[in-house]
Amino acid sequence: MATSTLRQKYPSISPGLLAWLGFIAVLLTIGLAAAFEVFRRGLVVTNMSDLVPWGLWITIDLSAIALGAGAFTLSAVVYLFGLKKFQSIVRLAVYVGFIGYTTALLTLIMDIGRPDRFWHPWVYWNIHSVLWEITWCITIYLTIMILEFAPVVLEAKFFDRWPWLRQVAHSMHKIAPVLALLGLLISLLHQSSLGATYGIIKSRPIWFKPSMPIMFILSAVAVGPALTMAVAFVLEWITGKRAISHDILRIIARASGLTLLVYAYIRFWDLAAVSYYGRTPAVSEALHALNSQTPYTFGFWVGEMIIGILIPVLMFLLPRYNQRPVNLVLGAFCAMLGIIFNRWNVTVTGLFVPVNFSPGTLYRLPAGEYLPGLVEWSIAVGIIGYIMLMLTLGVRYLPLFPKGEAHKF
Amino acid sequence: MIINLDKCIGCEYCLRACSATNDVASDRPWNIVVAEQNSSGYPFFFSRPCLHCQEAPCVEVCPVKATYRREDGLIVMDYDRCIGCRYCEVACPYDARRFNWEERAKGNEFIPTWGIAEVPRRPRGVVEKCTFCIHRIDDGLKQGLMPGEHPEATPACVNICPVGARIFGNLNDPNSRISHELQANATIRLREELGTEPVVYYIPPKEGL
Repeated sequence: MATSTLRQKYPSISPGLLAWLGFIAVLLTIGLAAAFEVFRRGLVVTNMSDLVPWGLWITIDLSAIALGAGAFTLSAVVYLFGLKKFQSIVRLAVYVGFIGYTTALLTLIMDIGRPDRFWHPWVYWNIHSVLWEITWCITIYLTIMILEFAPVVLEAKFFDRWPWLRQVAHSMHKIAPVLALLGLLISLLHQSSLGATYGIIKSRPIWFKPSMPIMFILSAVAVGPALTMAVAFVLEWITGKRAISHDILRIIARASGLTLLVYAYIRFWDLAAVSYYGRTPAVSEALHALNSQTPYTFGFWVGEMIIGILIPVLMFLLPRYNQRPVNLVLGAFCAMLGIIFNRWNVTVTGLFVPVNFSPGTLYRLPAGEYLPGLVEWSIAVGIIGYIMLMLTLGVRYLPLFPKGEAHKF
Repeated sequence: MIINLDKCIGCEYCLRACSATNDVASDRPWNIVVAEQNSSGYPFFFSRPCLHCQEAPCVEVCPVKATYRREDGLIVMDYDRCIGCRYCEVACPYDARRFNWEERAKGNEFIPTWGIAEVPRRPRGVVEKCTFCIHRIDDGLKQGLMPGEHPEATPACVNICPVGARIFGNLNDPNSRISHELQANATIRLREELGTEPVVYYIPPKEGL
């Protein structure tokens, strides 16, 4: 057993840390104040409307879940494909994934009109609904992550007083491969069906295509592990301890770069097929509407292609760049921005294109208009505070990095 | 339901009677009435309740079956079950759904001039939609009345129409008035290509669409 871990002393709270915690407290206060306002007055405090019923918060949900994909990807790499050398980063990946998924759930609670009924999908089933399937998958996957991560939490010094808990943790660790397999299946399913949420909506031609689920899962598999890699580097800079070898992190970056290329390839063909070669009138009309009222094409090329794909691919794959950690972190940051751009573009621009159902030629619904309001941004600020708090607590109180290369259980 | 675009004069009585009977917020009506024109520029008026699609996207996407298709084919909601995710609003091809963004405290400007509220107001945080006045249909059928023939068992928008542009009845009964009208007139349905199978049929204006 890892007695060295158990006896470690927590470092005392330095002035720098205190300032950092104060900063987090400010972020959380802003978020909580906004949450209070939402619960008091309802979603009328947001800028969403019947024409654009989803906005910034859905973008946060989708991005957070995609960015949490490092957990299942790296777990699968270690436990299913047997690449044991990645063992050292699995804990961090699962922890980052856990933060991502809980972030999504917190935002979702704000976003639904009746948070008191959050449990309804568990009781009232509509198996035909992708959203029902997503709710179930996320619930199950969160449970899997908690089970995967429980042994790590139980290793913390606090649990010294209950030795039997350690026994439980030990036996739970043995089922890790089973959990990883289950997690892989469930993750593939819901990461894809988040794309399907849009892809199946036949009333909106710009979304209605079978490539949606595939693009969502591929982008998540590309960027999730890259984020975990970047977090590992940043934690190393802050704590001054090299917990995970740079070779491993560089391999993850390369894999991420290659996956981004595959994603770019599919994204390219998706674009070419629906807007150049096989253009339908409805899609042309939608793209025309988008380009005339929003910087859609600009956002796509700059936000998704250059920032989200080109820069990360160069940073991750070119030997002249990927030797320096700062470049890898920069690449991961850009890839993360790209994912957020993409999820925003998918959600909001799809809703901006008005549905057209009148039999005449004159009447059109007005085009959607939406920019997030103060309360929505405040919730986003609070969410960032939550992420920072979880990372800080994790680094301080949890053995996120196993000591030494040998596995200790 | 059949809506005769050739007869409609755009008076918005249907919108008002609906909003009073179902206590709908005046800025977010279930029934809409809009000025339209056909491809040769001829003006006409277009109105739209919920189309009660038999392959309804809103029913398919609801994660909790809060929106469901009744035995008789009407698409209705259980407001006690809705979680307010608004996926149905995103999925509806006809903009027929409204979300309660806030608790409605104000009175209803259409009550009592255009009718009185026959159903309770929906709470904050749920989506709502046209029901074809199921409360009238259900009560009427219990009393042996025929929806579409007896006003007590017929949607408010149909009763109030001063030019008889809306015809309501049982499409499954080949002898009902609506079935005869459907046979006698050329009709269209909205966005037929989506395969949603709406049960609201439109008779186009004489001048064509």
